[in-house]
Amino acid sequence: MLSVISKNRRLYLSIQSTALRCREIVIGVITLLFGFPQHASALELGVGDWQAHGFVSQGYTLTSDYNFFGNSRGDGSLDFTEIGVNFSGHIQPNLLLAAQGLYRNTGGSDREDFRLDFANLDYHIPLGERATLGIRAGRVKNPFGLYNEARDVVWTRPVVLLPQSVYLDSLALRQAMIASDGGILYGRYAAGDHALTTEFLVSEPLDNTGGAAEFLAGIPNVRGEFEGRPLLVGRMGYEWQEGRFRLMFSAVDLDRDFKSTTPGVSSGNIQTFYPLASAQLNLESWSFTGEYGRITSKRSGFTPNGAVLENTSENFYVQAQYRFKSDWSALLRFDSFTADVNDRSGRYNAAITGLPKHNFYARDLTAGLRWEFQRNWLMAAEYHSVWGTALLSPVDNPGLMQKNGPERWDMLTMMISYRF
Amino acid sequence: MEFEPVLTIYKMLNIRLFSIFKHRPQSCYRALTYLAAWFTFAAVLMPWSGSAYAANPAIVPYSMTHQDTQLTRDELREIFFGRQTRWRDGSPLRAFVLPDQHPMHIRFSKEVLGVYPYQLRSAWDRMIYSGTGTPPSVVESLEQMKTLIKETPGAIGYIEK
Repeated sequence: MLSVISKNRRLYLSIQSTALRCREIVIGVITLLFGFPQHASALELGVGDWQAHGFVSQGYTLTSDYNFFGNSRGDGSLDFTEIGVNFSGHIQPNLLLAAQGLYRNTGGSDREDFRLDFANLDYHIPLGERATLGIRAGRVKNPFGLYNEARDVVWTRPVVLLPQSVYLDSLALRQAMIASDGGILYGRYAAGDHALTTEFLVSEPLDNTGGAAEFLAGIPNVRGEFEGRPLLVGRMGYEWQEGRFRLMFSAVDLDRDFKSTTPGVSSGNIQTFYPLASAQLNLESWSFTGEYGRITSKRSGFTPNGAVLENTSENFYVQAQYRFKSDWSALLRFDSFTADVNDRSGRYNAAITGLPKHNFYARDLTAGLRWEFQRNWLMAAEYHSVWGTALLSPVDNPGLMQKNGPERWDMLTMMISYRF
Repeated sequence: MEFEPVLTIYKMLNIRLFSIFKHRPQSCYRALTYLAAWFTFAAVLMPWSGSAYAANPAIVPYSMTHQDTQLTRDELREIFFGRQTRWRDGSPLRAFVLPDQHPMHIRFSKEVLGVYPYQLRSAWDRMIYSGTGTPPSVVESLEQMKTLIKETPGAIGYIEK
């Protein structure tokens, strides 16, 4: 265990030094951009409808007892940077090509730096007057819940962070959730104010990146490869008046074989099923949102006696947004994560693992403000009052598994963003 | 107990009003006259305010190349939400809009499409950052809108009429 900690710390320090250089560049770029406020909303590439868009977002996080996105205690952390550039356009009126490159650094929770976020071709045909059928292939964004596809851009998030119980930003599962290499078949049927939408994805998940392997296997610092059946994601929804009211149901089904290359760790199989129900009401100045899901995972083959480890978590949040001026909005949210539905207080799991009870849940009360202070500029701030440590990154908190820290902690997170 | 001050004020007012009408019946008639006058005035003004509203130039979708195409609200939503990328005859379609905060854009969203502008913005942003479509191009002014509609084949935007 000690070697694991020191390894994590070394990794953490090396992440910090590269992050430091990148951070200086980002702050420089933001200052430069602010000096020349542009009014272009997109970079029109001059050929047909080809456009380029981009964003630069820099965050600041200050926490009380634990670290979130870097070393955020004390003076806070600037390890929260998201930069992206994309282009899109039609080759044929119905054939779209789009791609996005992304740089992201969130301390120990995201060590990938640059990545190809998506690169896909999309073809759709009308079926009669009211229906559309389409196919999208390449590296595609996974259609899941209300926010998953565009969640790296603060402009698509309500304030700074998405509800962590459902969207899990600090855990290594994130990369596997966001995008994958494969194809999506989708359809839309609209009749007046009513529309039904559906998406179905079959793909090779990105579960060998971003530390997803060790997270899914549940064994720290384990090395190996995932292979096996492709990832399946489905989503269907009902929309009234272009989303003034919206109901959705999504499900992720993952069944992977883990081929261990670490001596002493056996290979095994992991099955994960994540159904999620979503509802949203959008009024002129108010929006109400709620999502509820459960993650069931079955791990087999990792223990010598061949026991199947099965666990179900509960993930949900309710949220209210109020747009009190055209460029200002406020948010109030309650977010809840329970690691094991059969042990809500964490008492049983604490007894068998020797960890504190609050390692098995997280309840987060959030209040936030968002201000688009100039066209293409956004400033946002959120205050979190959290009970429980289940959603903290073990990389950013090396002592999490040893020390008996407090159950309740606070977090202030802010972000400034420019986009074109 | 807590309601006592409220009750006292209510009682005082009640007695006072009552006594006014009791001792001076003409004030009662006067009050009724005022009331009638107010309703007559309002009744006259209501259609007026309606017509004053209609006297504002209407915002209508406009296309040079497809002037004769009659578009339903459903089709306009398909176009301006960025889902429909070609005309019925199969030719490419380009949509233009004014900035999100522009009063004409707000009116077009609400009056013609029947949606709040932020619904459009959130659908467009999802498209841009997930590689699933191209939203309408944003132009800075009505003048620029008119020029681009003239110059771009298959263009559609909106103008005042």
